[in-house]
Amino acid sequence: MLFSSLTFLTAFLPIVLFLYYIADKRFRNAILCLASLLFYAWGEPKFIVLMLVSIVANYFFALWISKAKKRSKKPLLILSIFFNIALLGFFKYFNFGISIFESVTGKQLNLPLIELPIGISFYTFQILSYVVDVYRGKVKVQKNIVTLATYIALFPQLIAGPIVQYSDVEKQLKDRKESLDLFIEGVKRFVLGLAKKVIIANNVAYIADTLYAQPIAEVSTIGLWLAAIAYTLQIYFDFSGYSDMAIGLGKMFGFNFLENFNYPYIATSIKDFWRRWHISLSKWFRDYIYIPLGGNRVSKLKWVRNIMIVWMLTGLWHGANWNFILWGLFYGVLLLLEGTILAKPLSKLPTWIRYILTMFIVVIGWTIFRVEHLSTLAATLGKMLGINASFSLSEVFYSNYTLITSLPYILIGILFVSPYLRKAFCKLEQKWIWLIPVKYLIYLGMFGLTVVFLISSSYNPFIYFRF
Amino acid sequence: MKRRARRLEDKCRIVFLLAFFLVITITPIKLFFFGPKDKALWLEGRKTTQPPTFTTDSFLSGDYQNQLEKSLADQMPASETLKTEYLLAKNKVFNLVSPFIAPKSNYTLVADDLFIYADGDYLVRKFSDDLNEIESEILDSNDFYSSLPIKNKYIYFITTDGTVDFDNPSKTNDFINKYSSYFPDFKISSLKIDNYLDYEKYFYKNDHHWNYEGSYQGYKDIISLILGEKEKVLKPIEKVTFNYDTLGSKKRSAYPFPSEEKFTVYRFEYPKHKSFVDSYQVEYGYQEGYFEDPELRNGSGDLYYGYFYGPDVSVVEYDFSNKKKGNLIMIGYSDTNAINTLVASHFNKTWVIDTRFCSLATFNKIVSENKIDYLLLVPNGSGGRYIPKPVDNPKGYE
Repeated sequence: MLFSSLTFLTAFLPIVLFLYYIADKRFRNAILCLASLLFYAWGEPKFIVLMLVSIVANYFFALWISKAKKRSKKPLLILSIFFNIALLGFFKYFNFGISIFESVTGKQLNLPLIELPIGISFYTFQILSYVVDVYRGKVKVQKNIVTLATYIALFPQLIAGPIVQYSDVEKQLKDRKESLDLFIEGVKRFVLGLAKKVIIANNVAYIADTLYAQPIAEVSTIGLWLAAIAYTLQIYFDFSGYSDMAIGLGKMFGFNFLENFNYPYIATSIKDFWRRWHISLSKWFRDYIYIPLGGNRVSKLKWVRNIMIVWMLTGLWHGANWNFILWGLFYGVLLLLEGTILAKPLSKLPTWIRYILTMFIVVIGWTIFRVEHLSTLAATLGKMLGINASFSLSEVFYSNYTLITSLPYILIGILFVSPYLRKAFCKLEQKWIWLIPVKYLIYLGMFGLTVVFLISSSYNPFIYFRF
Repeated sequence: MKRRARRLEDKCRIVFLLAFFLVITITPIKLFFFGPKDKALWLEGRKTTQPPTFTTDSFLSGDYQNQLEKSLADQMPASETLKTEYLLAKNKVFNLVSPFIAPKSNYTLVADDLFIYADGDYLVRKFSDDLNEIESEILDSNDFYSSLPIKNKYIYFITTDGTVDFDNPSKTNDFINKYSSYFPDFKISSLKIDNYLDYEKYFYKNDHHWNYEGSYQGYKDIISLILGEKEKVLKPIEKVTFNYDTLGSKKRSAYPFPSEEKFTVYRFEYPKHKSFVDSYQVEYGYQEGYFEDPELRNGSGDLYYGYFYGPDVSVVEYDFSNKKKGNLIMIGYSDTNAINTLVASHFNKTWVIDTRFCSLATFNKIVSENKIDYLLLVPNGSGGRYIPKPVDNPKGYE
């Protein structure tokens, strides 16, 4: 089920909220757990079994690890990690592996394609964080399977994050305080996320999808840059909008999840960008891959190895294709360069030049991320950078009405990627109290507009579901 | 000041929360107390989607979820008004942005892939001479029909806006010649459109179908193609312009672009015959109803092509009991609905087949159980595949 669907907004959410708040506190986790399983089954009826198997298996893995003697803990942890990675690997990377095998050997295996269960990358990483932290003694083992299932399947963050580590919500799962203040904050945050997704992301997505669907020869350099910028905005408003909705829904049910985005498109370096983008994923890789590998407290050569491993895995986590690996390595190399030989010269540049350089790299990065076929990617990047460049608008602009009506959303998106408008409004609000009702009218306006957009448009896919 | 601000904030928060709950609960409450609405949606040319009935199969296949989502969108109070307002706002945005984008051309964009040509108010599509995309479909169609034991095969190509470049109409001949080259065993003719004025004469302003003049010209051309110029064609006994506005597919796509015209038709006196739709004996279409019923004849509002001429069905069978004449199979999409009976009146038996809905099994049965003398394809250039479906998926008589 999508948050930005009328089924969620006008049926699922009111019913779950009603049941949750009339129930005794003891049963609230069970209600959330059942609601979450229904939420998942709604979109993926087949794969609910896979998730249940995963929950039960990891419940026992964690129990065994916590009870085992010191010597047997590690083999059990390895077994648990192997189990989880094997599931993820099979469903996410089997098709990719087969395509590599076929292209290397030239043999056609004609195997059926494996369908990717929605959100498997997210919930597998949450499960791993739990099992590893139980092994490390960082968290207590959860003996109540309903509570563990609530953590793993919790619908606000189930299918597109943020990746909530068990240690961050351990106490909240047991004892959380719902309040009207928190609830209203949650509704505001949810509405903000919904508006980001439905009003901005979906409209700029139309531009990116339409332009990338054209044969590369028929799209000019301007068209490709426009597509890349549109996609850059789409992925931010789509994913950060989803995170806002998840955080907002969490608040409605008394949870406080960590922030997942912090205005990444105002970053002035690649390192800064990754501190602001998909924070929960970076934190996960840092805690469970980078630091266990030795982090930066190792020889320079090993540090380089650690960085490249983490970024290759980051790329692979996003998708089973060469372009995702390339995208991960692209950032790995850039972060290495930025942290070593380019550190000094970059620090001498004015902030605005560093900002432009960072955004240039980010847009190129999202192009690598978006264009899956390597030959098309090479042609796309070449044309964007001036090889076979052409500067007229593409023919598609002259025949696609919706494309033209979507263009203003690029400007709206650019306006809202920075915190400055919001900060300015907050400052004025302290001076003029009549801006308080205006603020709430803006929230209501955004919500009303999203409902109109949802009724009027069927174009509503979330990008991050495939990860 | 701070206390006042806090108090105001508290009030606003409560109003905001109540409004949020009102929006998310109004549809289920309305459905619970008043039941689902069941009415025609003018804007989309369909009826409101009803809430689905739950079954395990429909849930597992995802059909239940999809239909529920559609029904909630349709059942939300004022949903049609909201959609209309959305389209109007979108149009305003378009008018604001397009002057910066659109090149100077005789074709002015007014909706997705819909233009007006020069100073006209006909909604037209742009010419596309790219047959490569549908080449394999066309070749499949030729292979399929060439293998049938029918001696006389014909194609009547309906030249439409998508196959005429009004700036350079000669391109159409090249297009039709290329199209014809895919069907070496067929005799081919086409609706002649030499310029934009011809298009205006033969087509609706806001629909993709041919109008009364276009379809009548098509009928005459087809009879001439198959039976020769000496064959006498039926002549209209009257021309009727109803008080109904034509509501075509393009009008819905291009809303709110104004492109109005009254629904005009020819009336014919057909020879005695029987007609069957999916094996039931019925009179195909509603033409006589509109001519004879005073309430219908003098009515007003909107009228669709399909409401007057008849809906899209898999097979319409005609029996004019004229043993001296041969039997015909006519293959086409909804364009043929307007000329089914006219064409069939020149043959003994005629089967009009819409390959979007007719199964291969049904088609094969017709061919094997009857002596078919003539086969006629009536493509319109919008696709190349005119072959019956291997799966049975007939659309019933509505």
